[in-house]
Amino acid sequence: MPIALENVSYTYAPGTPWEHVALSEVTVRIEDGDFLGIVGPTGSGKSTLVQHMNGLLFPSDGRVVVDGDEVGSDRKALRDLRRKVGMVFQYPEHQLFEETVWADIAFGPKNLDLDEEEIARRVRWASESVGLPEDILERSPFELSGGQMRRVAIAGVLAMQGSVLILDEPTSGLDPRGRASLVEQLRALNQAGMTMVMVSHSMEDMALLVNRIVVLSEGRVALAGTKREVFTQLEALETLSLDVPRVTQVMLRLRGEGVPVPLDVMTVNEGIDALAAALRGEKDHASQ
Amino acid sequence: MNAAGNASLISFRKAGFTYRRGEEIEVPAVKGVDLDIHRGEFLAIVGSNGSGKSTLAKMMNALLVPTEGEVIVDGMPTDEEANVWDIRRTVGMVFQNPGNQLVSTTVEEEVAFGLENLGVPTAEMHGVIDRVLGEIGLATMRRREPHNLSGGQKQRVAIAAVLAMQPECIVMDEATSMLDPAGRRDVLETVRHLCRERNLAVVFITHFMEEAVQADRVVVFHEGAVAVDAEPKTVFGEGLDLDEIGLDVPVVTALSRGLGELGFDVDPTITEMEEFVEAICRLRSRT
Repeated sequence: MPIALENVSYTYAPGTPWEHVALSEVTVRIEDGDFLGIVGPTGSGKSTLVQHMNGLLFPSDGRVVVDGDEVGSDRKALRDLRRKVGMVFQYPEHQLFEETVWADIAFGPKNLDLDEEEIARRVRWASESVGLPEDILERSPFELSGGQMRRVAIAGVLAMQGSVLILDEPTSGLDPRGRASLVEQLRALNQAGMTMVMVSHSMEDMALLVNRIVVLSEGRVALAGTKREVFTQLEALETLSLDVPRVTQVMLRLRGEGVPVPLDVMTVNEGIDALAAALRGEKDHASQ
Repeated sequence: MNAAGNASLISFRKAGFTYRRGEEIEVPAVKGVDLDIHRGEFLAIVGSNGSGKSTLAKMMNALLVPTEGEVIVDGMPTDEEANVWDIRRTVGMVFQNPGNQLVSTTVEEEVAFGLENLGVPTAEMHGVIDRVLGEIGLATMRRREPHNLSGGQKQRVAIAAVLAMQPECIVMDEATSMLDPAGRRDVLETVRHLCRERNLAVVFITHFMEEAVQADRVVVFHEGAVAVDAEPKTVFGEGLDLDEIGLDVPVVTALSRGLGELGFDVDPTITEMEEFVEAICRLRSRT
């Protein structure tokens, strides 16, 4: 179910003193099975952009085409769209409200008129997908840690079994372990075929997860490409005061000192391999 | 006294805190903590979600009063009602969500808010506001609406408002976690400057190990107690089992360890970029 934003512009509160252009002529295409990352400084239009992907916002200009159909205001079509394209907002745990974890995750599927058995199957699948232990399902979500509450909220969206999942800052505020395990779970969902879109300030998460990146600046696409293409555009990223992953920063510094390491190195394991290769390569050279 | 000869400003003496809901007695969030925070030091506190860090922070300025043991701020026990206002002037807090703690319509009113409550005369107040906004680099934004500022700027306004009260210590409870990378750097640089130039004690609670590395001292908090209390090099470098408590190490430390395991002679206690670059260059010159 490809999603295409074609020349999308969006203006908040048009014709009022608060008028604000949030997006200008943005074109983005998401293919089936993609993992697209969206980065940009605060206020660059990232959240406005993703809200166009499941019809929470409609373009002021341009159009959004999902699976060949233009997104419009037809209510039935919109309901189908929101079922297929799930959205996990920032700090989604603030929206939990049911008495038990089970009820919270089952809330969406129940509204789909599914039978009990199917609902139970979905709740189990969704909670397993985000690593929630079974004994938690009967507890109140409000007794859980922040990281577990975050997972319950994500499971609730997963239980709708859409084909696209959009996540806005999914790891923000989690401790390093919670972050690492959620990253693993998101990767597994994508590998199982789910199309994913992630908004994040964390270049480390981008390095571990996405295959393509769109960089927004003041509502426009400033850069787009594979993550390697984007993370090697250092000057452009610096102008936008955006970072590259920490390991890439180390490689850059070493290159500055004349150490022959590649720059498209983004994770710790890649970094160790690249450094070992560079150091060994020189040693072999010297001993010849 | 610590190594730099600075006296203790905040002292935890076997201090604990248990949240109680009605008749139910919950598990203690903080238990038997002995900890001294010294004047002018930059202390980072790290720990997993639910480790009790935020409870500990709230005990530093009497937002929470210990249910066992005691906390003493500049000689004042926090459990004496009469001390509360002096304690909160001495130890200021900045929280996670910049949007939730700003109440005024302009930046300067935000800074004036606390001073007005103290009954500071208007003329004197203007002097304080000028000085504080200048120091935080917000002088040109004094008439802006806080809500239209970036996250990093909002947190600096919150810091300015605390600073106007002339505190001895500022506690930042995950105050960078909702910011973008530029905002995080901005806030960290601001508090480092205040610590160095004004001898202000800073307690910096964070999930970002790259931020913790920049502190003078790091406390690892785990299951309501102090697990490690040492300088960053010791905490991250000496192979302490941080994995066990759900924390990670700075990237250069992870790279150093990885290279060490492959047989390269790299010091596994490296925590800073410059040290790492030097170590790699040294290795190369030897080959």
